[in-house]
Amino acid sequence: MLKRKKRFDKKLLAYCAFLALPLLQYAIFYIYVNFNAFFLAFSEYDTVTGQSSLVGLKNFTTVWNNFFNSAASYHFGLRLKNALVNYACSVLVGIGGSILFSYYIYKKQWGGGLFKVILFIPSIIPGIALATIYRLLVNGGFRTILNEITGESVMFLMGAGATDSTYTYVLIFGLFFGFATQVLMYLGAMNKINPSITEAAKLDGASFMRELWSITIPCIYGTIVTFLVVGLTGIFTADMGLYSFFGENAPAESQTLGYYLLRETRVAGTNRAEFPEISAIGMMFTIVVAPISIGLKRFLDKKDPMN
Amino acid sequence: MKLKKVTIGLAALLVAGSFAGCVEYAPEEKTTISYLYIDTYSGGLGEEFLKELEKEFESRYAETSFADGKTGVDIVTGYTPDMLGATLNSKIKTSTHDIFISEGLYYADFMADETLYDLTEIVKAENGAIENKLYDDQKTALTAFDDKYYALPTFAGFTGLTFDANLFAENKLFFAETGGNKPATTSSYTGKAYTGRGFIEAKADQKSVGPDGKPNTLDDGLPSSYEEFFYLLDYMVDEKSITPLVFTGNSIHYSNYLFQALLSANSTKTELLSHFTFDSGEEKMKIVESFTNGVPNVKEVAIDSNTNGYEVKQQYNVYQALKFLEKLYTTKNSSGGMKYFYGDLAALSNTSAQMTYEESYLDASIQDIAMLIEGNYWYNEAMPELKESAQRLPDTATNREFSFMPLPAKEEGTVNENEGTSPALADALDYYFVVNNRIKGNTEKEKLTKEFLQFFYSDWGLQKITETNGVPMALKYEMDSAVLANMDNYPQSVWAIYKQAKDANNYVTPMSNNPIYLNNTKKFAIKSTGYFSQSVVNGITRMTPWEGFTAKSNVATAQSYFEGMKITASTWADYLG
Amino acid sequence: MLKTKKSNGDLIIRALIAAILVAYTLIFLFLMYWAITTSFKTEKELTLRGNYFGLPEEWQWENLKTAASFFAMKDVIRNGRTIMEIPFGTQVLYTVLYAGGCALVHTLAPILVAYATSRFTYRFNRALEIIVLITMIVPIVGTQSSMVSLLVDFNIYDSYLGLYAQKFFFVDMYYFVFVSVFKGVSHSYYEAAEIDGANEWTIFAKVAFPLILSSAGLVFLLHFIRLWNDYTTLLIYAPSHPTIAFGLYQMMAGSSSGSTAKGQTPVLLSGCIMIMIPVMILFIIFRNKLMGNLTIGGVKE
Repeated sequence: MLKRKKRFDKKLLAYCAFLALPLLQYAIFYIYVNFNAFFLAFSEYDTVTGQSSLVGLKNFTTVWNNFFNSAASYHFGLRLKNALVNYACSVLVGIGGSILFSYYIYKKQWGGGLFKVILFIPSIIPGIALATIYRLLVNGGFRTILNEITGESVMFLMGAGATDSTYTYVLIFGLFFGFATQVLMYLGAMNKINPSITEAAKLDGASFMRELWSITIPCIYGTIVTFLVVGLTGIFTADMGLYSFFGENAPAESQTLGYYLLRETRVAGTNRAEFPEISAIGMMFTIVVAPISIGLKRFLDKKDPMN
Repeated sequence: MKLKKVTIGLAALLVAGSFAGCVEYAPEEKTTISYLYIDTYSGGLGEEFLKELEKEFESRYAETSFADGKTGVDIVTGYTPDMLGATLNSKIKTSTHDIFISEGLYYADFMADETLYDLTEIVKAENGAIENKLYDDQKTALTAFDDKYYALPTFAGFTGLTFDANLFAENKLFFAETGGNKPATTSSYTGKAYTGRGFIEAKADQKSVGPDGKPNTLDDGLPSSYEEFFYLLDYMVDEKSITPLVFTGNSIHYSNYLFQALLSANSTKTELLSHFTFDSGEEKMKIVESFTNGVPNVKEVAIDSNTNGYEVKQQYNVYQALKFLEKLYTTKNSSGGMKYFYGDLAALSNTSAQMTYEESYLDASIQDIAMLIEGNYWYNEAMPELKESAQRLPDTATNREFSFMPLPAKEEGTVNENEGTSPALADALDYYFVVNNRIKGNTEKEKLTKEFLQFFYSDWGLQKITETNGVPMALKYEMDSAVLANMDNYPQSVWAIYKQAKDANNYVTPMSNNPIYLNNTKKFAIKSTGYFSQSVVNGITRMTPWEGFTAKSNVATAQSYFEGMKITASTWADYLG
Repeated sequence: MLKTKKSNGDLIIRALIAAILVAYTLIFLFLMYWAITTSFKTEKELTLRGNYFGLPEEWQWENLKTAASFFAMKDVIRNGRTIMEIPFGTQVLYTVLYAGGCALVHTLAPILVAYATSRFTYRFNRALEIIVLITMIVPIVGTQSSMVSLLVDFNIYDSYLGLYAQKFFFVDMYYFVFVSVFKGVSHSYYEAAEIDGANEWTIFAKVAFPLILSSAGLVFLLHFIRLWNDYTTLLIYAPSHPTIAFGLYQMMAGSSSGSTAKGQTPVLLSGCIMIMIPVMILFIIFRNKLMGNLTIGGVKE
């Protein structure tokens, strides 16, 4: 009995030892950081005196005013619109395209192996390199050709000199190079589909598209839902590569909420006076996005065709 | 298996790396000599100036002992491209460097963590040898915290246009004092009959007095009003096939350099400084209250930071400069492109813009470009390119006649002799000298720092710096005429502009001791990428007038851009607390 | 075996997808061709002579060297001694330290927790499961400032310790991968080792770890590539430890003053090419593993 107890303790000790560091890390870098962000959102820092003080909802009213009451409301709206357009396009083109492409590869169609590699490569090339190449080509040679075709003298297609067209090109960039992860995930899911189901469908004479619609998509439904839900958070966090394109100087019309947040954080550096407002913005975004994503996930899970 | 090997290999590399990675922070020091570590931002101003000072200081103090058992000093200099103010603020505590000379340094941001060394004693030493070189406004602003100095100004980094005097002379683009060639009768700027001067008809013709109204100065023959300026631009494009302007399209905010230069030219010192002090003292400033059918209603009031400080943004000067820029950016050529700008801006980084500007005159296949928008440091930055050209084409490309370009203050007509203004001149780079508070209590370092500061700010030091990179220091000192005569044409012109402002006590260091400014330097500093030129037009934030005026939708006009720059009374009340 | 009926509609759809993919491939390859050829041109032939798409007039191999020097936080050589220099070589090292170190700890943390929860059965396991699920599902946005202030307070801002501590985070989608691998391990292995007198650490190191080495290696590699390409984390948390992606960012965007002295197209592209080479090599070696079957979310059979 005594021996058993000792062994039991040893096990508990080992259990605790394995968990100690990861949990300590979790407590500090997740729980504390989130609580601290919460606290920061309600405080203020004075550079001249070096004092921090609680200010109630002041940061939130400032942020709220910036978003909705002042002239800048349009600006917030624009960032939100850009983020939503990005989400919508990534659902339609990104998820739609990825499903079609991975299905094509999964069905072992012509050139599938090569296409898989080509679709995958952009995901491992550093985004900053890919963005730089794309921007230089678009603003350089591509613009010259476009001017020759249209007979116009457009000076810029991307960047601060091109307030209007920048977003379009950034969006195209993101969609064009954004297939990799999804294609791999869908392919993985598709390859797990029981061959007997597809065999049966084949015997029934189901067409290429019919099989996709009736068998494949329901089978990979869970993976699709994951991308839909994760993408939702992206509305508030995705910078669409704007940082890689323009650093801190992305034109106003092309900015997204995620870019705005990243830029504010980067510009603030270690300047404590800037932390509270940024934390307030983050908290407001969280209040919106957290329930929506959880709700969407629950809703979509209920709609699972395989249940 | 491959994975396993690679994982193990990487882990081994990591361990090795973490040792190697430390090296650069732990320089090997000899125990027989004193060390001083200086870091400077490596941009257009380059590194040579510091190397020159280093050499001289080391030889002057080779036999001096700053600590027991040590003789002489070894200055170790670092040049970091990203060591700008904001980065420095986060790095200074852990940095091994003692002294920093950096751009975009808003020292108020550093005050919270006591990271800066108190320089007061050094600045006031020897009957104020350093302090006497400071302008009064600098003294006021720099001693904002407990009446102590924590930073000192360095470069006078003013920005604006550069013109090619040789190209101007060859193409007779200077205005004539009397008579002259007037190719057009209407002014594209006013839309009415042209009321300015004509161009010289022969190279030797007497040039007009320029914006300053004084003969035999740097600005002779240059446009003295916006009307004349656009007359010149049209003449270049329509008659001479010369491209008026180029700058880096990669960084549109460089266009703000022109905005800043226009403001410098059309503002008095008080007006310019009020952007940072929010105070005009007794002086009444022209403030735009409102617009009636596009015409501004101007009132003349004194600005007081405690009441109407926010009105500094509504100065008529600002609106005037915006009108200039609107016209400059929106005038189109026959194919719909920008009439006054080089067509391929998008492809140009700032050094390729410099290269394109410089090569245009030398290379027959490129249309000549008359002016470049840049900071006064560009000539130093382009030095390798300039040297290469001079080697290739010694006859045409040696010591080119580039010159910093004084801009007009007047909108219409012309300036006659003795009618000119004495414009202010503002630095736009915020270059400062600070010392790491880490040296506090280390007598060796304290002694060394004191000696070095006094050396740096001695007449010899200041002159040497200007001689080396061609940019003046924002302090009161003179250049030796022999040294000056040996410098290239461009740095000479930069010095002449600085000297004019200095002697008239018109030089502005963009800072103040106003608490609103100190608490919000990011919002009020005259940084080209910052809020200074920002406006909200139709709810869209524009960082530069360029973006506002060239947008396809939500296009700004001079009026809407100007109105969008406004700080409201209620925001100001918030600032006042 | 019956041959499947293939309608015309079917064929058209498949041809259409194939056409899109061919176009995609061509565009992508052109982009790469352009980047590579342009990276060997001079700024003059590109800007002043408009040679946008042709081959270089003369292959400028020194562009690579120039780009490497521009990545650097500049050479500081004095009396043969280098100090406070962050040259390209050091940046490569920093990249390995950042990507390698962070990938390592970020792989290790979930392994430890996954192992503990599958090896031992305590009620706390259920709590952990809930923690992981909640943390993964609830998106919390905009806490970077809070993280910076924490790191500054602990004096580990802008340091590897700070970065590693941050990345030693066990909540991750690969946590589930490890859990399922460990769950598949028969407890008899552990018991046998116990009988041999091995302590828990030995059991973990000698028995359990080898079993997941392959998955751990893959996860490490995926993290490594992602971190190799990442620079925004460093922008915020360790600005003075530039990796080469950071170097490229600096070259691209210039510093906060927006200086693009290093922004000349061919040299910038050389920088892009240089930073791509190592990941392309990794890809070529491990392409099958990297493109292997990864699954998240529900998979129905």
